[in-house]
Amino acid sequence: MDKSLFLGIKKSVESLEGFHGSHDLFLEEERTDPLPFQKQASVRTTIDTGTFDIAHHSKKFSSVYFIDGIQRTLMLGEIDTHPLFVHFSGAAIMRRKDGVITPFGEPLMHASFITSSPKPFESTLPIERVDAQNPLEYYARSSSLRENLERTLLKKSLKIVGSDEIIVYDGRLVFPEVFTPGFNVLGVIKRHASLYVPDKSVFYSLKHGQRTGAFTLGMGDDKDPKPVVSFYQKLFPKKDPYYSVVRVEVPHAICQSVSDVNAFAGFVHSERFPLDMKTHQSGKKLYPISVCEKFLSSKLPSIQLVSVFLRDALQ
Amino acid sequence: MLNEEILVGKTFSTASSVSSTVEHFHFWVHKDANVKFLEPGSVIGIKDDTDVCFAVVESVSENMDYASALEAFASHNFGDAEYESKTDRFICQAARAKILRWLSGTVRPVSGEKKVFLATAHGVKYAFGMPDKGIPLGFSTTPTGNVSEQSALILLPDQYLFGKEAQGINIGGQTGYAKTNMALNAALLALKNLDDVCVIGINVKGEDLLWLDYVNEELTSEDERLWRALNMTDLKWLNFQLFAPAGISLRKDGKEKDFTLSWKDIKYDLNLLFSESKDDENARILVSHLGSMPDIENFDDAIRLLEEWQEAADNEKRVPGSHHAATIRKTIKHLRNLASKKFINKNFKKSVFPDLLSVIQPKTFVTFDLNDVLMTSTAQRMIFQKILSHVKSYLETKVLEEKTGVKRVVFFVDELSKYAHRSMGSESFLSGVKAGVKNIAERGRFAGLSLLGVEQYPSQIDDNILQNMATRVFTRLKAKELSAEIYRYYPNDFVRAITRLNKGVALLDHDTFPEPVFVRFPRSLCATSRPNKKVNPKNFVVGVS
Repeated sequence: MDKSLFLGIKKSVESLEGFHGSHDLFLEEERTDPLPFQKQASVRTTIDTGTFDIAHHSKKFSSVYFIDGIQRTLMLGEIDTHPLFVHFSGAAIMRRKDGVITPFGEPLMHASFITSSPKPFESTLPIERVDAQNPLEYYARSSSLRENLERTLLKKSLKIVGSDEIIVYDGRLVFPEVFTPGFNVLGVIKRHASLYVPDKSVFYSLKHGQRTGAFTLGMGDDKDPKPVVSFYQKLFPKKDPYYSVVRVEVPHAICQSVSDVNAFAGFVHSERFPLDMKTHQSGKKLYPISVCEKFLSSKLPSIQLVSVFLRDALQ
Repeated sequence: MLNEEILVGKTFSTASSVSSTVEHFHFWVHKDANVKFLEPGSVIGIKDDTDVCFAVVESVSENMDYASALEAFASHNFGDAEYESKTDRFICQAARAKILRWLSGTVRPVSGEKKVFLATAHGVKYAFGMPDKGIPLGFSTTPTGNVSEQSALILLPDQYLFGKEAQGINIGGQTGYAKTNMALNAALLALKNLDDVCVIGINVKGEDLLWLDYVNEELTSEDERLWRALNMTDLKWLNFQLFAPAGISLRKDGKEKDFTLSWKDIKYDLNLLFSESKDDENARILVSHLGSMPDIENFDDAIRLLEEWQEAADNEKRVPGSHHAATIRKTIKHLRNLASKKFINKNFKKSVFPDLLSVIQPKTFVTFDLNDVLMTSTAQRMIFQKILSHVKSYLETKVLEEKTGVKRVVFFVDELSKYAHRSMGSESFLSGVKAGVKNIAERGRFAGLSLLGVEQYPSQIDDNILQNMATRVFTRLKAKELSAEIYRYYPNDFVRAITRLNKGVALLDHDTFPEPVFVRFPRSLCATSRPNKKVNPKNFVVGVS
């Protein structure tokens, strides 16, 4: 992101009538972690029940692509009591071949204002309007802007990924594109607001290297939801029953049997090393995803940089 | 001046720990960079618009992205060294570079993220401020000693080598790592390239300086290549003279010219028989008294007179100068001892010492063989002092220049620490010689005197002598020596590298260079030991093809 972008932000803020600067609130994806398993979710079908040791065999792929995005959303102040945020997001594909991770193509970047103020103002950046002043609204819009970038990359990767390759996406498979026939994709979910197994006590007996029973969910278009196979698995040992538990989602089209479930579980299990212990959710985050985040983090302006650059305008 | 086909990295700084300053910058290493261009001593550069910043690689370090040993351990299935994860960890090599100079002459830090390229040989010369003309000493290199496309011919400005601006080379190194070779190269290259220089070598051990009229039989093809590049392929031009007191020399093929010393030659240097301590003060006064007496014409006269004075003193009669009986006794003992030496002509009344005005000539290397195994320290210091005082006098009075064209005389002193040890005080019998050496180092350049010192432990040399020498060269040294204070000002990785230098590689620290530079040099072109082949010395010249 170049200097002209910052100059544009500064110019907009300086010319904004009724603006009062303040920058003590920022929203980042990792700062808002829901309490786990607060609501029970329903599943379509159950494939198997209980807990299972993950087979040592796993799916083999010649190359693995990892897609992730990050967002930084900083409150600049208020326009007549309506908060004004500036949002930055980025998403990238990292490719691993022969053990070496490299960025695959250029990362996508986005910057915009987010506000609930209806007041028009001049801006070189897009302005996202939200309805309420609840911070969660802003966070949701911020996340949605990041997800748009990720979705664009997923679409792009449809043309890239070969039959012996796979995309690992950091999140749920909510985009309809992932159900394109022949597309090898797998989602790894680290946050668990919803519980897809009958009881939380399932996790008390789940040991590392094991998975729960698999089940199917309906994803994508509400009118024509696509089946997705899902299961929980525990990557590392710890007494905390929820530690290092991830939920995996795989399109049903490529995971149609218990054997396939075991193979994908084995694949995810084999990705648990190396560890990045200093990252948030380190027990759940796959190392290439962590690398992708660091790569994007180096591309996006830091909160500190934005604060310093806009200091004059915010006073 | 930069080879833009050889990209080695990109500069960076961080928010806290790594800063870019007017002295240093850092760069991470390009993934395809050849490690040979990243050794300490490699010269690199960055472009900043029309300006170029030249720097030397001081150190290279590598970091993986493990936050801790625990993370590395845990990443291998919690301690399984056989475990291979599917993803390699990131490895980052980063280098610290010392800025040598900016093309524009400005003093400023490198700003932002700039591509780092290898400097060309031309760039290296510019970066170190090497002159276009000067005395060649070798080729710029890295601690490995490889001569690469970047290697530049190192030329030292002669006025800072053996000149009015500054003088002196000191070469330190452990035995067996070519320090004497380097010293001989410096002497020969100065003689070859300058028409007003003569070198006087004091050979105190072995045969290092005795066979300089023979081409070194151990030259390799690589040495020959380097000598060709140094523009010296034979010794036809060299006038080598060898003097041995009373014919005492390890070389006995007729080349050596013997000489002796008479009373007249050394009567003013007899104080060197004694230390400079207070205990010997009366003895020094006595020999000074003797030297001033015109009636004494040889050693026999002096000893006879002293014996008369001793008898008078023993009988409590008056002694000229009121010298004490014990002082007279002590002086007789020392004079008798000296007069018994082969190199002393105790009867001769006139001077018998070689006429240095006929010996010192341009392009001449004169060796005085004062070998430890054949000669006492007393004899060594008497002769050294004699040579030094004569040469200094001839230079100061311009007699030497008028008669021979020689304006500069270089004293090649092997085992310099013997004469110039930092702990040597007035109580030492060599303190007089140290004073002479110190005089050359501190004020010699005004007269045209320079020092070319060689020793194993430079840290043992008196600070005033070492710091007054404009060029310091270090071949391989031991770690203990390198813990001395004089090495603290060099980059750590340079100092560490000195312990591993091979023969033919040294670290050169020259006053006109902004930083030290590693230098590759060949074996000496002249022999440093008795040649195996019996080649007639008169037809010694064996051109290096």
